[in-house]
Amino acid sequence: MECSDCKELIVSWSSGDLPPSGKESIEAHIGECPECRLYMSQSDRVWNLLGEWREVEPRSDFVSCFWDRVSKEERESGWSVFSYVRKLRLNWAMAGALASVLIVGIFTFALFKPDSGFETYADNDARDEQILLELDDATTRETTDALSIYGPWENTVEIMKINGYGDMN
Amino acid sequence: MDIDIELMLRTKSGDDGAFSELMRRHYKGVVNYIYRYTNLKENSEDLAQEVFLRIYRSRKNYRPEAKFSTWLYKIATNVSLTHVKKKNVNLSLDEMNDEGGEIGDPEIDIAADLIYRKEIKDVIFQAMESLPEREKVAIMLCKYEGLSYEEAAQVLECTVGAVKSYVHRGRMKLIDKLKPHLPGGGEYGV
Repeated sequence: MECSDCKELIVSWSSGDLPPSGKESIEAHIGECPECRLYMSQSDRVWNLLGEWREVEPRSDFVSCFWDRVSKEERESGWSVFSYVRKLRLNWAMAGALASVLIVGIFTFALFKPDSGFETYADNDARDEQILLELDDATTRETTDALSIYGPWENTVEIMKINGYGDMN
Repeated sequence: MDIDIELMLRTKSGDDGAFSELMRRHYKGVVNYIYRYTNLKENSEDLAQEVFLRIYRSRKNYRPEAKFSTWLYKIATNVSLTHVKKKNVNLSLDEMNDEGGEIGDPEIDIAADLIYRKEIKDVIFQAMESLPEREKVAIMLCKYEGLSYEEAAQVLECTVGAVKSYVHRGRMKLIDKLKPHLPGGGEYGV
C-alpha cells in the first residue's frame, strides 16, 4: 500500500467510514511506516484541536429581544398598503375574482354610457351642409351677374347654352 | 413525534409560546454556527434572530417533512452566506482577538494558555476559511453542530456520500494546515 492511499484510509477510519478489512490494511502498513503512524496520530489530534474553537455565550435575553423585534417590525409595517391587504388575507383566487369584477364593470359602464359624439357629429354635418348650400347659391348669383354683361336676355340658361356650357340641368 | 416538530406545529396554530420554547432550544447553536461562519460575534446574534424571524414568518406554510434542525441550519447557512457576500466581511484576526469574551474562563488563568487559545482560534478559523464552501459547511455541521451525515446532506441538498466526501477531503486539508499548530509540534512533513 502506498502512503497516500494509507492516509486516505486513515481519515476514513477516523470518520468511522472504514470497513474492517480496511482497518487491517492500515494496521499492516503503519506497523512498518513511521510517517503514516504519525499521520494517523495527527489526524485525531487535529480533529480534537477543532474543539478548541470554543463557543460564544449569546446574551440571555435573546428570546425577548426577538419578540421586541417582531413587534417593532409589525408596528413599522402596520400602515402600509401591502400590510393592509395582507391583513385582509387576500389570496390569489380572491384577487383574480376582484380583478374580473372590475374589468366586467368597466366594460358594462362603457357599453351603457350615453354617447353624445353621434349627435355632435350630426349637428356639425347639418351645419356643413347648410354652408355648402349657401355657397352654391352665392356662386349661382355671381355667375348670373357675370353673364348679364352679354345683354338684356333674361334667360340665362339659354345664354349659357349658346356659349358652350352645355345643359345646366 | 419529534419535540421540535410538535413545537413548530403549535406555533403554526398560533401558539407563540411554543416558538419561544423552540428558540430557547436552538438559539445557542445557531448563534455559534453563524459566529463560526462569519467570525463576527455581535452580528451573529442579529443574524440568528433573522434566521428565527424567517422561520416565524413562514410558520403558516410549515410542513413537517424533514427534521426541524436541518431546516434551521439550511436557513442559517443561507443567511450567513448572504451576509458574508453582501458585506464582503473582512475576516480579520484583529477583530477576532478583540472579541475574546469566550476566552475568559476563570478556571484557566494562565497567560500562556490564553495566548494559545487565541492563537489556535485564529488558526482554526483561517484553516476553515481556506476550505471550499461545501467542505467548510459539512465539517461545521458534523463537527460543531452534531448533525448526522443524513441531516447535513439535507442542509446541503446533496447525497450522504457527497457529505462524507466533503468531510473527508476537508479533514485531510485541515490536517495539513493545522498539524504545525498541534501541541507538542507537528514538524513532520507529509
